[in-house]
Amino acid sequence: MTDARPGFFARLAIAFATFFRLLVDAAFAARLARLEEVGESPAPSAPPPTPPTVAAPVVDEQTLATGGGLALLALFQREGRLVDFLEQDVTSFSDADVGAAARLVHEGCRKALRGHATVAPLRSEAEESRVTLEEGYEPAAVKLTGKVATRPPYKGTLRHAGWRVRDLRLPRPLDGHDATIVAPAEVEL
Amino acid sequence: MSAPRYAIGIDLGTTHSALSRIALDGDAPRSERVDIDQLVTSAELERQPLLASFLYLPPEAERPLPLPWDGERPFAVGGYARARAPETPGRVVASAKSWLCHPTADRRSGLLPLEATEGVDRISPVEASWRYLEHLAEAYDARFAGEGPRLAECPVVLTVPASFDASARELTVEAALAAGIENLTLLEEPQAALYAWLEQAGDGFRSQLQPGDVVLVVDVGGGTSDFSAIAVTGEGGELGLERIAVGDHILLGGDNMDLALAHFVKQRLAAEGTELDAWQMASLTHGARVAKERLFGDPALAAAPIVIPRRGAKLVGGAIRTELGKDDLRAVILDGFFPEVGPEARPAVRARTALTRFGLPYASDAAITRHLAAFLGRQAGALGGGGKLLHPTCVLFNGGVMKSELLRERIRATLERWLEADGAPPARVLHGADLDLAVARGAACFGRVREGHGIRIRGGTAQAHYVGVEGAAPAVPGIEPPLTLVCVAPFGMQEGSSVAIDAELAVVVGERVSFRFFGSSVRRHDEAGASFERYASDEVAELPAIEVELPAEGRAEGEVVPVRLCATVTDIGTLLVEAVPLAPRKPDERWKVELSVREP
Repeated sequence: MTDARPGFFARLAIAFATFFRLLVDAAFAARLARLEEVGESPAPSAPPPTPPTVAAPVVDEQTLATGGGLALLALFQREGRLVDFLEQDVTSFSDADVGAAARLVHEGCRKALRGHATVAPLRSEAEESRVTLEEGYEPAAVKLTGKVATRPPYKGTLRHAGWRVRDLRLPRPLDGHDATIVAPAEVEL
Repeated sequence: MSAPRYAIGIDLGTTHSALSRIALDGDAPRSERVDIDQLVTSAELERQPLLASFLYLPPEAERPLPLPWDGERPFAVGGYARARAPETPGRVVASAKSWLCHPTADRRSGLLPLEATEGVDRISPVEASWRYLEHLAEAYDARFAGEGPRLAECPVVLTVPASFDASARELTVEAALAAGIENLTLLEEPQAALYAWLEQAGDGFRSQLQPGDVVLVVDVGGGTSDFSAIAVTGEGGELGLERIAVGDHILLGGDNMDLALAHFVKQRLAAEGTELDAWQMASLTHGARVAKERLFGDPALAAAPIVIPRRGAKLVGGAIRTELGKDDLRAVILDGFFPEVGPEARPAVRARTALTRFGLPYASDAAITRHLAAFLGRQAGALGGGGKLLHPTCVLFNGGVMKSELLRERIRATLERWLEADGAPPARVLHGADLDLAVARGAACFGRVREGHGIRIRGGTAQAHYVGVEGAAPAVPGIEPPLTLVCVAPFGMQEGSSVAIDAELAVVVGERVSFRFFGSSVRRHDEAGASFERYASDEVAELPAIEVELPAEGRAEGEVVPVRLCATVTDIGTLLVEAVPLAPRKPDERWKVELSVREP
């Protein structure tokens, strides 16, 4: 295996894919847990066993460590049905149908986001205004595009002001809480 | 350094409760909101500014619903309980506060949920209030463990509607005592709102209020509407505040408005051929509330969409789409609940049919402006002036409904027209603190005022109280014997004061003897012992009967004992009525007369 390191977007994609796979694939979670423990690559030859359909999931520490992400998913599902929306194939629906659903998701998730996090733009300048980045700017907070010279100062146009989460207040799980259940099934009696 | 001392303020609301505290020492401390840990799902806790006044009674398999301070709790209070209300209404207690002042229900008996699912052990309105207060105290103690006194060790000010009658106040105290809160004082909510305004205005309040001003507090919350008038007095250069009048108890609030909007949209959908089930109706009520807030918040919007989704995991497709127009909102909320009426308008009184289903006595007229006109009209003489109305010079709004600029402006403009017609100048608006939290903050401030910091609103009891004594008259079929009302507690009694009357009342040892009991918020000049037979029907209201039972200690069963009644306003702020025998058998012999009677 070469030592090539994936770029930011590649890492983001891997992070998302891993995140969702961890939720549904207990065997994968267990392999990742082993990887974290001993720092080895996963055994490439072992095919993942088919998970039983109704048994309780095996929740290991690594999965539990993603509890914050699970709590956020549960919150967005509870308030704005985000998981329902993302899990449904919407290709065959009209824009009006998707739009109606998007309104619900937007209204609910926005309320949940505003109620649980403080998200603020990273840069105070208006988008499309000219900005200068001096020596010592924070590279993680500014993505440079276009013809990027070797060193600052950089003069350019602010295309996106960025976002930073300043505060996140997630529900606190209590004993016996199974965070992997982001939405319980509903049975009407 | 000694331990910090705090006064606690609790707003025990119909739909939401709030908690606040203020330091009792130090230079000009400010009240602070205390956020409340509560379940938001069956096993997740969140700290929120308000505690929903709902209680969920889960089936066995869902028990316990653990809290950090109690892993075995068999019920849940707060956000999770509210979320469960539309999903399983037979297991969720709501509006317990409205039941506390129900005129005929036994408020200590298991009544709620009214339409409980089979197998659910109903709880009493008193117990529900107790559980909300218990949760607030426990959440406070868990949060500040080791950082100061427990909540029950602090002086606690608990607010009640100004229109709560003597027995509802007593039951509120009973709930607080059950929750372990003993160092307790009651405060009327509109007064609390004014204390919060005074705190916010600081020393600047002297430039906004002068002797001769009359502040009208219009408090429209989730479940009730409450009016009070508070006069500004000047004695020897010192400003004083005196609560001069309170309105009737009106079970009418924001929840009624949201429901009215939902029904309006439901009917329109039905006319288009779309019927909604109970779940969709709950979803529509939520959607209509969101649309209402959006339209109120942005006057430029002509309409806001409402989407009622499908219930299953497939969200997209099959949703019912409609919208709420600005004109709809005006018709339903503004003109339905706040119509532009004249000063002579009065709420319509609906004759109660004999077969009324047992439930809450909701206001029979939804028009808050008509209730307000009635209040100002009835209290025209509160300051001894002429005119057909009481003339407020300032208005202080409170309660979640009053967040809407459109509604505040409707009330202000309507009041201006009434006052103009009555030859009085317009009233100006006092801009208040946070309308959801002012009552809790003001309650905490009052805890500090009681220690001598800041101006205190005087007022005493907001009603005169009477017992009804049936005259001895020959029985005539179909004609009730004449009833004489004897004043046992005059209007405006101050905390800690007592009066005794010599009425010829007789009780029988070993039997429960009950008296009819009456209150009046306008007869301010009857002295203790004053009696009368004739009165206008709108100046005296009958309250739940009061009852006394003499134990047989030292007396023969069946003996008739002449007594006089003694009324005291306790330091807590409740009315205590006692029967004192004319010929006591031992020193200081007296028996408590129950204001909130248990069912026989």
